[in-house]
Amino acid sequence: MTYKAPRRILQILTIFAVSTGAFGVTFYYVVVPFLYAHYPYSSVSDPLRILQFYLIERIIPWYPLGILFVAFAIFGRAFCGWACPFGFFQDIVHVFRGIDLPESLHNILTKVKFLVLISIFALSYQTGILYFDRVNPFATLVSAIPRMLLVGFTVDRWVILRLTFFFLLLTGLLFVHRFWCRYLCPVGALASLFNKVSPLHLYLDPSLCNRCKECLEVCPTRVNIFNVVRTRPIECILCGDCADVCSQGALGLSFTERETKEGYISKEEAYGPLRYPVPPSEFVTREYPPEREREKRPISEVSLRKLRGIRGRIIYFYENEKEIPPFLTEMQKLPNLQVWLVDMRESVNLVQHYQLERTTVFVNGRIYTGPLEEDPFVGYMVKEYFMLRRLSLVFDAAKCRPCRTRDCTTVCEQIDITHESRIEVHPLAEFDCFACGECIAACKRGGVSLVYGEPKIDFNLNLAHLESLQDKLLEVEPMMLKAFVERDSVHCNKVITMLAAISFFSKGRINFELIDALEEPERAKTYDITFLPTVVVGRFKTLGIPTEGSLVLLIRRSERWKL
Amino acid sequence: MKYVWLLLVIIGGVGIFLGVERFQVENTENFGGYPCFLCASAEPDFEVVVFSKAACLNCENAVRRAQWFCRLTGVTYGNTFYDDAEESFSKLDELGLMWDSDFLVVVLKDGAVLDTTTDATAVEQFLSETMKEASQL
Repeated sequence: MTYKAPRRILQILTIFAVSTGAFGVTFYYVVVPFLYAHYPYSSVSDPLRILQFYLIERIIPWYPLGILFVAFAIFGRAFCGWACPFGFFQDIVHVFRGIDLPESLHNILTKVKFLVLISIFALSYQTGILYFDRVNPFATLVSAIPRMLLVGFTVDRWVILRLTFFFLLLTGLLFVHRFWCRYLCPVGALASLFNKVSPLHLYLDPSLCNRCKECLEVCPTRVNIFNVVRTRPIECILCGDCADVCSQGALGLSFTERETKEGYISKEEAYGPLRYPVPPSEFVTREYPPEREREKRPISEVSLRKLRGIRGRIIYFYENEKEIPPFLTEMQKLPNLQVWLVDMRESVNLVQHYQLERTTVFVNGRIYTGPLEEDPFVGYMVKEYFMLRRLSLVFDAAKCRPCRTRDCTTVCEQIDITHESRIEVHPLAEFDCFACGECIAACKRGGVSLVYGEPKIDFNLNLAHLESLQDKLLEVEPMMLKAFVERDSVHCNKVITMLAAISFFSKGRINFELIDALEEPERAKTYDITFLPTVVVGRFKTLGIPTEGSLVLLIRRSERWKL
Repeated sequence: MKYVWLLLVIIGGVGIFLGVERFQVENTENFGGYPCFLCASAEPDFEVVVFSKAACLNCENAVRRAQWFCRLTGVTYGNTFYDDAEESFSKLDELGLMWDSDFLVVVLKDGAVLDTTTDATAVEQFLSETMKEASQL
């Protein structure tokens, strides 16, 4: 079902409902939540006029404001799209489609309606005269022009101003859809303040969206529909035109929050080509130094004991116990992995059931008989392992020396500080560390850091703040953050250290995957990474160097908008 | 943020309740019925004159409402004439009216009497209806 037909019916019904004065039936105690004016057949009260009356009499308008609060709090700007008679008029007179104002002008003009709203009340409060009634376009349409045609009129400056304004506006309405609603409507401005919190909202299911952008073409108020995933736009009049044209059924109006399946839409996917595109590799002058450890190692050499955040189910059918790769045996020790090693000679039933002829591995439901290195899941684990081997734990002796408590060594018996140099670097490969972050959190002096590449540790982590946020971190569901970093960067080292500390304070709920953006440009491009370090948290990502508070806020926000 | 709307609905509900307690439903109903001269680009060339007995509570209220009406619609409010003042009778003579009740409202257009009422309880409705009809609003 489309929204257009019921919307039109409701708009026409509203016109009848607010014109029953023609039959002598009036409900002037009802203040309508849309643009209105008094005319011979009117049956309800104009909200702006009533509020101004109270203001002139210096009385707090409890009752009319209460009605507007309730209506706007529940329905937001839906009245603009579904009930406003002047909105209906605008829908009808929008003849010349495909013409619009430049974006910068549009963005500025959208603020004008708030100025109009304030001016109306300020003027009436100061002068006691309702100036807006002199130019109200709805009043011109239903009251002034009919009266001028039927009774006649005297030409004065207000009449000239009124007609000039109306016909200029009409010209604008012919070309720009809902020109009045977008830029000038004071009632719309008032309602838009509630759009962000009203339960009735426009939702977008990114998993269904194919980015055809048809919705952007038809939106009467030119809302960037893709933004509704993250925030509720105040300009949206909830008309549902975008949902009507969406062939995928990705858009709709709802009173309840809908869960979406896809977590992240890259900016590129949402808006088309990037404004600052990643340059082609031939233009990149800054070459990443050749990595000594990059040459492929036999998978059997990889130890996976230190891996964090890997989940999955592996069933390995083997013919000979000697051919089991050592890492598979090690993976049995990981609590979040289910690894079953099955001897084919002993499990004939299973072998017959799966019709197995040779050594076979089931990795997360996929049957795999070729080299394990080609499997993405195993490949990921190996990558993670190599990344861990490149990290180092660094101790700042300047901060360590005055320390008497030696908390870092208390929490982890593997730590041994020699104080032989000002900066002590301990590569994780040298001792059995998997970057749990406990020593970082334990050192109140901030003397322990986790670095990638050169030991650049010219930063201070606000651990006390992070600790104060621990309760909030413990509330979130387990999640995996992706940190895009580069080598030898003090900012990246800060973020890595911060993530390790966050992971510890969250008691392992917050895990993180470190991705070298220069080594994996494809992944960086997928996530639209233009700045390093960048932390991707669900569908959000950081801009600039994140602070402790901002990262925790992002984690909590991502939790609220979780998959 | 999820339930902020509920808080706003409650605030709105409280507003409505306070408004009802302060008789704002009736006020809003009266205000809504006022003729809108500016909406129709018409000139409110009327004058309202009120004759009232002194020390009459109903009449005082009606005078205040007539003043509200004139102030908010832009109609000229002539004056309030009390029965204990000499000038009240001279004004009545001038208009050619007789007054034998507690309260009398006179609507004038171009100096001539358009209509009158002695009902102090529905003074706003009388003024609204009279002026709407006379101005074809």
